[in-house]
Amino acid sequence: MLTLDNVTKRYKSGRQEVYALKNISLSAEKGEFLAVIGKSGCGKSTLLHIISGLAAPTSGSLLYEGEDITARTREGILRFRAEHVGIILQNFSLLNDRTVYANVELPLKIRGTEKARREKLVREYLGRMDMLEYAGRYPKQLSGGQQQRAAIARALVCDADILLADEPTGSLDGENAMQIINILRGIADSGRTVVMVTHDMEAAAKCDRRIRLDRGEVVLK
Amino acid sequence: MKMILSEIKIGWKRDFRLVLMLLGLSIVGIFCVGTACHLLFATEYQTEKYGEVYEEIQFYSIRDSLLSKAPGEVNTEENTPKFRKFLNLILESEYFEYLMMYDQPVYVDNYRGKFNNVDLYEYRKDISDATQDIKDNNGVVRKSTCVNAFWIGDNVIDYFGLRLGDGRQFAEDDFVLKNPDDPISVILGANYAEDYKVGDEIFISFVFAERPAKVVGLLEEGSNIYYGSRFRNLDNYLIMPMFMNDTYEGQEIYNFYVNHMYVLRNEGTVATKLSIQDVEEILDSYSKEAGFELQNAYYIEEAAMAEKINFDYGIEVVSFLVSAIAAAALAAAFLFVGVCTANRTKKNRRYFAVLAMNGCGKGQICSILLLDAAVIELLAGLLAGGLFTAVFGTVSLWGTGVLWGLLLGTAFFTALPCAVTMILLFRSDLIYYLKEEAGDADIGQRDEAI
Repeated sequence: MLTLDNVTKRYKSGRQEVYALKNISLSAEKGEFLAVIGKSGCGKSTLLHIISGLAAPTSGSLLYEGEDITARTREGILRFRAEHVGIILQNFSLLNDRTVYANVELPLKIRGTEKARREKLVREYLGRMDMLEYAGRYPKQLSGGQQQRAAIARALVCDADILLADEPTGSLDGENAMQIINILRGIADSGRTVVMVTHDMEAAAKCDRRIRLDRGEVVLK
Repeated sequence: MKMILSEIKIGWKRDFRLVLMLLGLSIVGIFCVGTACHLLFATEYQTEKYGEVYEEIQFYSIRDSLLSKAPGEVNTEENTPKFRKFLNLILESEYFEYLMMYDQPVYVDNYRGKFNNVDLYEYRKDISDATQDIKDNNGVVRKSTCVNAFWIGDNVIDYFGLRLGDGRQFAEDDFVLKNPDDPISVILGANYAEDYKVGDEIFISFVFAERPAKVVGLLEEGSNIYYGSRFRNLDNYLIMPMFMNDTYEGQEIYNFYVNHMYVLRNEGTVATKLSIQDVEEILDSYSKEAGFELQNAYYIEEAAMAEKINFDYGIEVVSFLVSAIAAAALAAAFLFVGVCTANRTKKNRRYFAVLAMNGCGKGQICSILLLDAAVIELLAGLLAGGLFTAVFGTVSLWGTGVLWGLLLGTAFFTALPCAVTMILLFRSDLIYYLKEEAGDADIGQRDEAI
């Protein structure tokens, strides 16, 4: 479903050229839970940015359902991200000045979804994350695990079929971390593709497949 | 659009103090732009209207010390021909234009005009405050109101290019009254137009007389003369000819009256390109020729900052100074709006990054920024317009271009926060702001923006 084909990402650092990714080729199928592991600075996040369309590869392609996404225009890439990709980050990235409900509703408002449908979808995904009773609370009133669950609900509410998780358990304690991993596992089992960047080996162990990056290259699949 | 408006509303709640500061600074800036435009257009307008007439012209006021002398010295029969001769000399002088103008309120009976025509109306409660009973020589009592009035010579209307909206200007006959029952011709300023018309008969009381008067003309709005170091707008004035009343001849009062009238007539304004020293010398020679022996009988006052009137110089200096102050205030407002906006943007980077992460495109983010700035600045523009009107009074916005200045200022101050915000926000991928917040060391080089 999702394929990276010989993707390279190169940056300029002063006069030197630095390779964040070097000739990466990998694929992820529907319903697959993929972990990308490696030390800090190995290119994990860059890989995620390219998959989400937030960054463009220096060379190579990102293919989704056989279509070369990197060949699209900027607006086309944006549309791809909006329609197919949900992102969760280590620090949850919830907006503190609005309720959990308003946070989860945000992507739907951005897309112009009508109010009745918004309400239905928000309640549905909050329910799936066991967060319905916290809908009226503000992020600062929640625990780390609860915030991350709200963030997951937000990432999925637009029916994204790819979920990218960048160190989703980085700010959580052991119990909450496992809870989140189990949720991600469940999401993958429901038919979505989940790509998780992590340095947590215990979390990675729950995945279908692990890919290790080192200095921008795949060293282990 | 609903999403954008909703995000703006949330943003204002979140940044309430910053938004208020931005609003205040923008009001100052837009007000300054409006002020500068007002001065620019007003100067251009006046230069265009009066520049030809007043270019290089100096205006000097002749002041007569005779009025301060004891009446016995002035009211002698032998002085009358001297005053008359002196007046003829200055009227016919080849060296300058002599303009007889005298600001002297008069009383009008059964006054039905506006309150701001009344003498010193700023200090009065209402029209009745300036109204009193005046008895004429026949014992008739009239309720008369003191109104602003100018007495002028026969060349003043043409010299200043005053135009009549209705009726006629003064004729030669208007400046000499032979018959005691002859009505005085008066011309009224534009502010009288709603209440009086050409042909109306009124009764006026003034120095030495109570006389019937007839309205012969109404001036166009905005008619100005130059008197006492500044332009005087005649819209609120009753204009009388500085006539000579021969009907007192033979009476005891005649000498005093005539001499006093000559004193008034000799206290006019000299319009010339000559220097003050040259004019003083000329007047000296005229007074000697007229037979005056009184020391410093006549002297002129140079209109320094108060009365030295070089039209271009005076207006330009004032306009330059005020424009410089406005420009400095505008620059300061510009700087502070920029700083304020930069602070607000930095504070909200995370917010925009979350929007971007959740599918908000650059165009939508830019729309939020633009509309946010536009609403603040439109509000600032309206308030600045109100402040401008409060300071400068109701002006013809189209005529002086102030409206354009205010709109220009509003547009400028809308563009400024937008530009600052977009430059600061989009120089990097927004997602990096979220990663930085998380302390992610794996950011690597900053990529191009989304």
